[in-house]
Amino acid sequence: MSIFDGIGTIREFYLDQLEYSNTINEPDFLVNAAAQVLKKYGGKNWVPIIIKDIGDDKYEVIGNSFVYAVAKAAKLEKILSIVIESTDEAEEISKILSKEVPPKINLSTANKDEIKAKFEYLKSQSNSPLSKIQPNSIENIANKIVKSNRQYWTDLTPLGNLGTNNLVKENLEFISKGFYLTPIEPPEPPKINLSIANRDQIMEGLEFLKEERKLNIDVLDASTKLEQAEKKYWIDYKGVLDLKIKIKDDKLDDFKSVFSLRPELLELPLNIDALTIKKLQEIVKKMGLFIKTRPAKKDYIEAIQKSINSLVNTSEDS
Amino acid sequence: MNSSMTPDLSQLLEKMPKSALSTVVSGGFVTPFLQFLEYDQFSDIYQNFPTGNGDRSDYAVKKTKPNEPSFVETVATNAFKSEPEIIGEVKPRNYSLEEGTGSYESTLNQLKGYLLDPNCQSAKWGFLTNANHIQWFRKHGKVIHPVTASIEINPSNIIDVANDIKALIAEYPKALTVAIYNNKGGIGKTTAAINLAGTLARLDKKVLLIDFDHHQQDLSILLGINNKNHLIKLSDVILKRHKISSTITSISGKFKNQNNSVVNRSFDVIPGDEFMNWERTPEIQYTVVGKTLKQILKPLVNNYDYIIIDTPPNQSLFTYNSLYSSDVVLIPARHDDISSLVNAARAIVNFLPEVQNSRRKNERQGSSCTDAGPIPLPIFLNGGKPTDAAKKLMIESVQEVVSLFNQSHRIDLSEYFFPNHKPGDPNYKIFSVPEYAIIAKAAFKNKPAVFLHNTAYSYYHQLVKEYFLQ
Repeated sequence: MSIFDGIGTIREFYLDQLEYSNTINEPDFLVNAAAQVLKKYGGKNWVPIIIKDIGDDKYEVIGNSFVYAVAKAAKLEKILSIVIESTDEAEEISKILSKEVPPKINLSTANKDEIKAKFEYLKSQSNSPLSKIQPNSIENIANKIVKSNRQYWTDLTPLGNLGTNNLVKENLEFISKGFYLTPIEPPEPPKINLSIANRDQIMEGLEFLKEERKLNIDVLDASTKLEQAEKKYWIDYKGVLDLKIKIKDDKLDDFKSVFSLRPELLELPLNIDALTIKKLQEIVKKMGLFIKTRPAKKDYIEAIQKSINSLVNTSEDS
Repeated sequence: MNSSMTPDLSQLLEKMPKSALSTVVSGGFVTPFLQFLEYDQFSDIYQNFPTGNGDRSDYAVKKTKPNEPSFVETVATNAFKSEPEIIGEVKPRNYSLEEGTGSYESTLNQLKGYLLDPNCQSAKWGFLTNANHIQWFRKHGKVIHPVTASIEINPSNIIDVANDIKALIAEYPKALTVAIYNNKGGIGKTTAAINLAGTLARLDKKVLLIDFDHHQQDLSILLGINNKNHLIKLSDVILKRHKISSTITSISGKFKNQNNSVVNRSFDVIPGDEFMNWERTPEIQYTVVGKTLKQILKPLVNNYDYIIIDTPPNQSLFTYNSLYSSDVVLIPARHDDISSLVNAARAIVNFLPEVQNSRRKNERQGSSCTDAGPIPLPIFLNGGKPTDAAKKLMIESVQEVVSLFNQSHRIDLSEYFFPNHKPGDPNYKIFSVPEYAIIAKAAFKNKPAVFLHNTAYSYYHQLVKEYFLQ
């Protein structure tokens, strides 16, 4: 920047050099009354308006739009103004400091009260699509955000998926006017071979799921149960669900992202068709296989066959 | 050309391989780019054009007029008569055309060479591209100056860049604006400005001379126009929105031409204005910034061939305005005034880059074609006797300054002091206008010396040929 660029110094501009695209929120009588005083006292607007160079000797009003409205109503020929740097950052801070727009809140780090206050502000705006949101609902939203892994959010899509309020999900763009994000890279999940993992390794994996994936699990209880389970033959994860360690179907993908299975092959009789249903049930359980509800005998056999095949195939691949 | 045939430059750049050779860059991007600028592939665009000096430029382009043989045909029969408008140089995609790199400098020199070659005399424009960057230049007489920075291009901005270059070509000011600048006073800046204007006027060029040294107003005093009270003043243009054309006065002279008949020649002047000084007019400080002069000159830039600005010494707001408004800066210095030589070098190393940055930032808001800003012309030496011994002394003192800056700034300024010097060829020719008593004395007659004395005219005619005219 050169000292001759005229950035940040007070200068005079003709009214017709200035453009303003928004509407001024101040009531007309205030603008007109101020204009009367301005004219009476010599027509110098000692509080400058804030403007941005838009080329061709034209400037856009960025801040102090009230002063602009008053100067216009007073029909001043020239208006004292400050030209800001032509950057988005300079424009944003100018709008914030001249109270044209409220500052955005950092949703990655803000505390619950700040988030609540911002949502209440957004709700209070005229024509706000959030106007029908209840106060206790805002409390709930703020709570869920604080407990989420928002530090990794790169946009507001996950906010819509927190299951708070449909109005939130439908109006993410409006909400984004109030917030910005400074996401950090999420940590790599640990890779644990559940088939042979010891208790410490299991605990590490579960800690990660609890902290980073926000899984609601009792790490001590779950790691004890997982360690003691007869899991070396597990080909699939049904056994994990059966342990009742608060890992449900919908969280299984998170679980799999940390815990892999490299099972030993359970020795089976050559002709499994000849086995009883009870025997087959035992094998399916040992292998941790999923099976459809009300299975027939052929369903058990099919599930076992399929999983063995998949196991043989993957070991051939590797 | 039918708009449905407009090539999709964005898609072409998308497809262009990162390591495309220059032939691929030419066929896959440059020709379509020129078609986008509405030049016809078959009649207007010629590749591998003989420049007349044994070299070939990658492109020569000219719009063929209806009912005339096509440009491409004319080149094939007689390249010298083809009069191209645009000369272009194309490089492989991985050959850097980023400003400041060695590869950029050498490509630029190549283009400049072609533009000055015999078959390219008529060219108005030059460009460099490698499908990563594109830069556009103007040629005005002998002067070649950038009209855009070297712009980075990609699939998402290329359509804007092409449209903006098209608009630039269509609307570019006719005048070449030249600031005469040296931080050091008393080295004959004003004399040079007046006589340069006078010489160009005698050569039938339309010239506007501006006295922008509002403190001293030497130029206006020398021309006897410092007290033209009937004129609208420059400060009235800035503060009261008067028309800039009403500030103009003119200086004329009568000359005999070759067949002994008398011709009138004149040039226009905007005199200095003491009311431009903020000590005198406080509102000035609320109004004038670095780009004010450029802004108020806009209505005049198509009325002249040359606009010459005499600047104050030092680095004041007025100096800054003068440089900011210019395409090129002519820096006079004196060989017997070491500080004028050092200041000339400093202007090139420090002051001009600052003005260039400001131009790049503050001009062409909203255009994808970043402005380039003024460039220095080779320094010329004012004064000194035109003897061999004096010339030798001159060259020695200049060499000293060049080596000083080489050591202190790691910058080689020799191209600005010795424009004709090539490595291995000890051609240290430097341009100088010799000391000549009548040049100074002419001052008392309120006319440029070149209007009064043919000897003075012949010296300045040489200067004009060396720097401005082909």
